[in-house]
Amino acid sequence: MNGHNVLDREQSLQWLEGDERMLNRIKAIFLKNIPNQVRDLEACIERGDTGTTERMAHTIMGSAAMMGASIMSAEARKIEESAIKMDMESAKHHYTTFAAEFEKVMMALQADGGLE
Amino acid sequence: MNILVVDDDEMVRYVLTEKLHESGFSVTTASDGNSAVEIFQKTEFNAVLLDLKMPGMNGIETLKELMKRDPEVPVIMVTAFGDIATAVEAIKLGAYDFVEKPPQMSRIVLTLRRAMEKAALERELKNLGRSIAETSALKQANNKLIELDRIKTAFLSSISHEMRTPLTSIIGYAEINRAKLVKLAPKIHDAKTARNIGQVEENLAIMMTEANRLTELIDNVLELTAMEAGTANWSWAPVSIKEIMEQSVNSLSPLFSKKGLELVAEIAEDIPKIRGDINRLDQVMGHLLSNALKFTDNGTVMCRAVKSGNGIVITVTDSGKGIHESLHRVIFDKFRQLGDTLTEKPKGVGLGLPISKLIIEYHGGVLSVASEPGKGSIFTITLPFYDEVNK
Repeated sequence: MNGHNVLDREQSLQWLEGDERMLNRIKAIFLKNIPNQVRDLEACIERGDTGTTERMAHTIMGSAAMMGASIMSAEARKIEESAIKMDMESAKHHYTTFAAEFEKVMMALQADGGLE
Repeated sequence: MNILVVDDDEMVRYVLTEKLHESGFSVTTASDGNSAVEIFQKTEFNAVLLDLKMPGMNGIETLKELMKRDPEVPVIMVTAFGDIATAVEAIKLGAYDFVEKPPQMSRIVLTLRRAMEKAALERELKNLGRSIAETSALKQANNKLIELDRIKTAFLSSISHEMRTPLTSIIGYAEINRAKLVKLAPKIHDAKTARNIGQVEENLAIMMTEANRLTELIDNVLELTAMEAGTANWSWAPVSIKEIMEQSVNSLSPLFSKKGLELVAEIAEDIPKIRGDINRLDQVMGHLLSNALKFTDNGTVMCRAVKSGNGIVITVTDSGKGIHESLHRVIFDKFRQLGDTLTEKPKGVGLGLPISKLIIEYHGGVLSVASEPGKGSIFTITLPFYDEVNK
């Protein structure tokens, strides 16, 4: 799919110890929370709030990792690191890549079954 | 096992709660440090799973607050990628361990179990340390009490000696004055003066009786303190219990008759001799019989002695007022006379029974009481005997 695995279902199931029911449940939680979290992250970067940017990026990194969205998680991590270095220009730059990946993840999730 | 899960990520809270439930833990969750501290204060937890990076109070600050409130509850940090340095800092601050996100449940459960095991062991160790400290404090307190008891005994002994000397003079002079008055009396022909002199003579007699009672009390205190301190002199020799009992009964039966009481003695013929102090055993018998006389208003006082196994059992049974069971031990305490709990307060200070008990114990025996209010009392002495004394 598009040259890389947007959502790695196997990876998610691995740490959930094969619990499909739970994977569906955390997918629901992810879908419920992630749009607001990403919107907040964007706003923080826009206003140059390094502290909140760092924290928000960190949370999104964790959630994305749990979903098996490893690229999205890695991009969020880059934003977090930029915020730690107080480099908001770099954060903005990483956000663009992150936002594109985020769209892919959302599409993949909203597709039927969504976890492939 | 109650676990507190603190994480701002709802997914983490959900997964940890579900998986920990499956492993048999009960779980409480908090989404930030402040509410975690609040919940932690109200509830007892066996362990805490704590996220490092959270809004508001972060993981390190939360850890510090939790440790302040109860350092014995193990805290396991849950860290995301790139947080290792902070996780190490958390361990330096007292966190038990850290696990990485996404949380591997088997590793979390294992870490939790180890953490709780360690906490339990530490608690046990602490209690052990405490009980050792308590034992040594008790020992110190006990030594202090033994020392205080020794000082008290020495004090009683010396004060009693000091009281005895002036008392001897008082008794002596009272006796001389009384003798003089007795001599003087026939020479007085004035009836009024004679009556007055007679009154003075009577008063002197009362003074002497009371002074003698005081002497007896001081002697008892001296005797008791010496026995307690182990400095009393004992004359050990083969003695016949039968003779001692017969003598006591003979000397006291006139007093029993005077009060309208019957004193019956049944002493078995085969009572062997024992090794003992004849004067002190005589004192015990005298005391038990006097007590029976003092506390019995009518009926019979029975004095029995039989051989039983390797011992001699002596009983003094009265038909007196009896003693309530709660007081059976108290009567052997020093200065505890039960007179004031009965209708009439008999004379004495309550040293007779403690002294008697000590004497019997010095002979390797036991002095005990069985009694019921209104039904009289039975005082029982059991004394061991050794065959070689009788050879």
